Amino acid sequence: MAELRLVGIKKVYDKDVVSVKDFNLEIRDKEFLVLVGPSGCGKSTTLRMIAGLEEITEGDLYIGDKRVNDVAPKDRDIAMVFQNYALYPHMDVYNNMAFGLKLRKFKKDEIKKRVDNAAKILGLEELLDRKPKALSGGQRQRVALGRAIVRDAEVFLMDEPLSNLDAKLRVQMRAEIQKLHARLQTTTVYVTHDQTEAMTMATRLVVMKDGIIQQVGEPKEVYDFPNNIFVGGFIGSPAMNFLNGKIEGNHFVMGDVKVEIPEGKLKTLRDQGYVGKDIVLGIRPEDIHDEPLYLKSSPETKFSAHIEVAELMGSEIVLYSKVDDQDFVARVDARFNATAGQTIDFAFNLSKAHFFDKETEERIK
Amino acid sequence: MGNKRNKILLVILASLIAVLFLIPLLWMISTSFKNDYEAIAGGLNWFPKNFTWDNYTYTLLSQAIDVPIFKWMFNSIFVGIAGTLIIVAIDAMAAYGLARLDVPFKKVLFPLFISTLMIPFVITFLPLYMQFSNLGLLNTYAALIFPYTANAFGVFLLYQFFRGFPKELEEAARLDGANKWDIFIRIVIPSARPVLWTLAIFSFMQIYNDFLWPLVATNTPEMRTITTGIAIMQQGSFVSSYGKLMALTTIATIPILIIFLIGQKQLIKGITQTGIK
Ligand SMILES: Nc1ncnc2c1ncn2[C@@H]1O[C@H](COP(=O)(O)OP(=O)(O)OP(=O)(O)O)[C@@H](O)[C@H]1O
Ligand SMILES: [Mg+2]
Repeated sequence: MAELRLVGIKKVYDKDVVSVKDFNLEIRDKEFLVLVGPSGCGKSTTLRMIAGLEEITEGDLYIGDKRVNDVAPKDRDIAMVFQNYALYPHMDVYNNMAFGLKLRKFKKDEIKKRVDNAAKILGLEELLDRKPKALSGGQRQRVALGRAIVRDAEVFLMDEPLSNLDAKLRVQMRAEIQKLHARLQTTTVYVTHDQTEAMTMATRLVVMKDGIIQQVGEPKEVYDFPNNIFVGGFIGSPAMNFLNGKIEGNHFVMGDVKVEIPEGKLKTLRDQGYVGKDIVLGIRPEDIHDEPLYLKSSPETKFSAHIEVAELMGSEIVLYSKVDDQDFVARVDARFNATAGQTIDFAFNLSKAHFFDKETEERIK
Repeated sequence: MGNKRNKILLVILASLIAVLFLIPLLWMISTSFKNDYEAIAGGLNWFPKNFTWDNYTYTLLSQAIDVPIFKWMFNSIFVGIAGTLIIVAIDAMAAYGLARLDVPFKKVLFPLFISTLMIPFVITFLPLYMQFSNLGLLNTYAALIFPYTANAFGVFLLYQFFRGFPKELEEAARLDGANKWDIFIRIVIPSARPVLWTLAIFSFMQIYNDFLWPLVATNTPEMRTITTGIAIMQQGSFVSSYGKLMALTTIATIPILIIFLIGQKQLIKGITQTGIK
């Protein structure tokens, strides 16, 4: 059993660089939690505080029921996988995995059993007597994982473990790590700045910015209901469109273009006094349609726009266009043959869209 | 095209420099196989006219030589190895501490260490002599070993290496359960092997080749090192016998050669790793 609790955690590096603050989070047993956010937002710092590699300036860290702020890294029963693998260069694969067990005075045959088992899970059996230098990136990453597995630790920490791999291998290793987690069920905290990785791997994800948690939730929840403009823009690719406009009557107005707001959303906006005010509409590219059938059924959100660029992605086309001189991106079905230079009709699916306060950038709920 | 020509030019240049360095060495070897007459007569004959092993057999085996050549060799090698081991051990710990651990005042200590590199030996020479004399340690192995072991060069060399040593490796080891000493001995030192070899070879050569200090620090024939011994021979038994002197000198270079051959691969690795040239 390994839940982690971070209570009011704050990290200040020397010369008052505040890199994490007000960090409150419960990490559940067996969970695959992903910390995601742009570079420098404090993901590694958070992970390193959990590992004990970085001192916690303020707040409490619990593993299970035990406060571990002052517990040495080696006594926290945590294994970590580093971005650049951190394999011991002078040891072969077997000894890289066995090192931690040797230091913990395990019996020789127990060590062998565990290393062989990890090697089997990771497909490293043939490579046990190789030095790290003689391994490919993917193999090195597997050894790094193996080193964590043999320890049978309560918690795995991974800091961007895939970012040194090429795109194809990354996708493959992503699946392998997920399989591994399904098999071992070890509580894992995984750091990445890649939102695709976060979306596909996480049981829950934590979106961070400037050392502050923006949102915690299951990937779908975060995707569908982003707390604020930052989260909406960060999660999802192509990114969510943000369009400035005004609420007039029951319409959202961008210059000459008017789209009708569905009843439920309109009520919320009215209740909170946004009528007549500047407001930001957030809509995902896939919620902007150009299929004739949709256009016909939703005349109230229809408008026409000029396509500036069209990128064919296979079954879909990503269209870059403008409404009221504001850029937007639409991801539409390739069957309808939209091409650059055309002016065509679009319609918003506003039931899936969100409105954000222009000042606070929070989603209006 | 031009690239290939540059390469050829480079090889020629390198060979020329190599030859330049080798000339005295080759001359030494050549002379050691000449008889006394030919050795003194001079002339640029690279290949001895009357090739002879006599100089070697005489130097090594003759009863007529009453000086302890083998003891000198032993002294030099013993002092060289002992000094080298101490240097490597102390410097590795000092450099690691300064580069990676929370040593108090290290920001001041390190430059202080390094600044000692700028003090020429001739300045410390006399105080050093008086110190050992006061301690009654002249003419002992202690006098031949310890003055070399207080040298910041190794600290400087290793400091650079340890600074560049990946922090993640130490952190991974910490999570694996290693304490500071485990990390140093089982992770850092094995990775530093090429640099340590470099330092070891430099140190051994420095001690083995040194002349001035052993000359003043010792005063009985038994405590001489090979370099000081050769000097004695030059003025003693082997005066004007260049063939024999060169035979002795050739023998004296053999340990260095062996050490160099053993450590060559590591040495080159070490030099490229630390960026010293
Ligand atoms: N040792 C340190 N000393 C001072 N400031 C630091 C130190 N380590 C990190 N920081 C600062 O703390 C902030 C968070 O850094 P952190 O490494 O946690 O970011 P990150 O989210 O992991 O980013 P990345 O995706 O680039 O790895 C940054 O502003 C960084 O400059
Ligand atoms: Mg990071």
